[in-house]
Amino acid sequence: MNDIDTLLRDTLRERADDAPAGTGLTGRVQARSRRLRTRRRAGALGAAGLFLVVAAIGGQAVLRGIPDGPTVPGHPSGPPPSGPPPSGPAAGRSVAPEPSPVRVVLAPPSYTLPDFPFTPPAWAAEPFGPGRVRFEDGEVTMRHTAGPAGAGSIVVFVTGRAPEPRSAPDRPIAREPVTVRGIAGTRYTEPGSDLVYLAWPEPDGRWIVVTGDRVPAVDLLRYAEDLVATAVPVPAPFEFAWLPRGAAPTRVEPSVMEFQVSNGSLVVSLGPPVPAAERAGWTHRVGGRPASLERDPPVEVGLTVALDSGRTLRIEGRFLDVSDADLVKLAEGIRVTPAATPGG
Amino acid sequence: VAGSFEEFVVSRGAALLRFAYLITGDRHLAEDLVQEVLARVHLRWDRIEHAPTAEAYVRSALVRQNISWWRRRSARGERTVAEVPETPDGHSTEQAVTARDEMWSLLATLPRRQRTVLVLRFYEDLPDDRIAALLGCSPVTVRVQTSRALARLRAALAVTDEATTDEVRR
Repeated sequence: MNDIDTLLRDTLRERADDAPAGTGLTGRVQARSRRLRTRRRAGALGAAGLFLVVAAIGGQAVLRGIPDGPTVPGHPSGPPPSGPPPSGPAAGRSVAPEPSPVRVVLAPPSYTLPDFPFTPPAWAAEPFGPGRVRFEDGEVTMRHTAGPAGAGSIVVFVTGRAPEPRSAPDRPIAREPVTVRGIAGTRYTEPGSDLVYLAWPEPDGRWIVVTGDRVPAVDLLRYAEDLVATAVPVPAPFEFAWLPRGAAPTRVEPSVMEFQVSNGSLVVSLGPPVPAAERAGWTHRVGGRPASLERDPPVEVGLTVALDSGRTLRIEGRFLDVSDADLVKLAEGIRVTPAATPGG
Repeated sequence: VAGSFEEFVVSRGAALLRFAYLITGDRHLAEDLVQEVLARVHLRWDRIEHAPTAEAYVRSALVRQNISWWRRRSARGERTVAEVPETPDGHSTEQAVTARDEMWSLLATLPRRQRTVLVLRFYEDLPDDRIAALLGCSPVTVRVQTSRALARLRAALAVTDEATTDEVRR
């Protein structure tokens, strides 16, 4: 075992202690399972009246609101594990039907990213890490999740509808009225959980949900009160001359941008350097730079470009029917912005 | 035999949360991931409870759900190496803590599949064939992914070391 192996093993063992404790997990899972069952039954019946019930119980707006327990508003309700338990090497493969690849036609981009409506208080950077604005699944969030190990974290969501908390039977969520920024809001807590939520409506109809993980309620309220009503733009790490026509951003992070293209997706990211030995085998060229193109038809295509900075630009398409030439053209039209390299 | 669903969650829930946290790097997402997968498993528990591989099935579902990034609606993405904390001089214990913090940050820069392979190998201590079964790929692919992930970590650590050395020289 070498030093990297040892460091990796020690790091994982140490960090495992920071995992959520799982208090009340059984109740939350059972409550979530009941909602799933309700949705599936309603989906099978397909009755209009039931649809309304389902929308009220487990629809998009509700999922984006205060969830049952520590679930973060806006988090996924993604693909289910399908089929029976695994019994061999094929275990883990999904049997869900996959969409057909989307034929890509390149066009100048036409999207606009929204701003986060507040500037966070400067003091929050010290215990919780600096606030980072991200665009996630059509919503802007402010995340303070880069504090030192063991520190709490704060994530702020801006949603379109009032949150609707759902309690597990054995862990009822406590609600208490609270005035936030002069507005009547609600604080949600759950016994045995490290998470506290604050929610209030803004005059423009949007709801702000501030979630604190291991953050005292008084500090969370102070954070909400100290938000300054000055918008912060989403820092985009890349600018594009070309994108697949109809590409709509679904995720913008410091070094990643993800787009939905019909049923497919495109992810552009800035990664660490690739070892020279691996780069030596790269035969493609993008703007004169060495590049590697891999295809796993019909689902995935990937293009990795070695940048002058030493880092790598990675483009991944999934369920996209795109030619090598168009992929190279797309890559050549990408400019890495200063926002992509904090401190750089 | 796994027994009742409640017994399974009570006895294995904490371990599943630790695993989910290590492959996601995010407490919020780990909790959500485990809840979502267990809720779906609950619906078909009558078919799973007598299987000797119930926990492997749940872990496989956690991995699959986490890796299906194109359907993922919200999560931390890969980070740039520029966010890696600097390596300070100082006491060896502090250096060790800093090195682990740095390694944790670097893990966030890896593609999800590579990160998962490392967690399964270095935290769960699973052999290649069992990792391959969990991921639904061949043991050769597991070895390639492991090799690439370690090479990336090694290269990134070397870059950080060089930057620190340059800083000291100034």
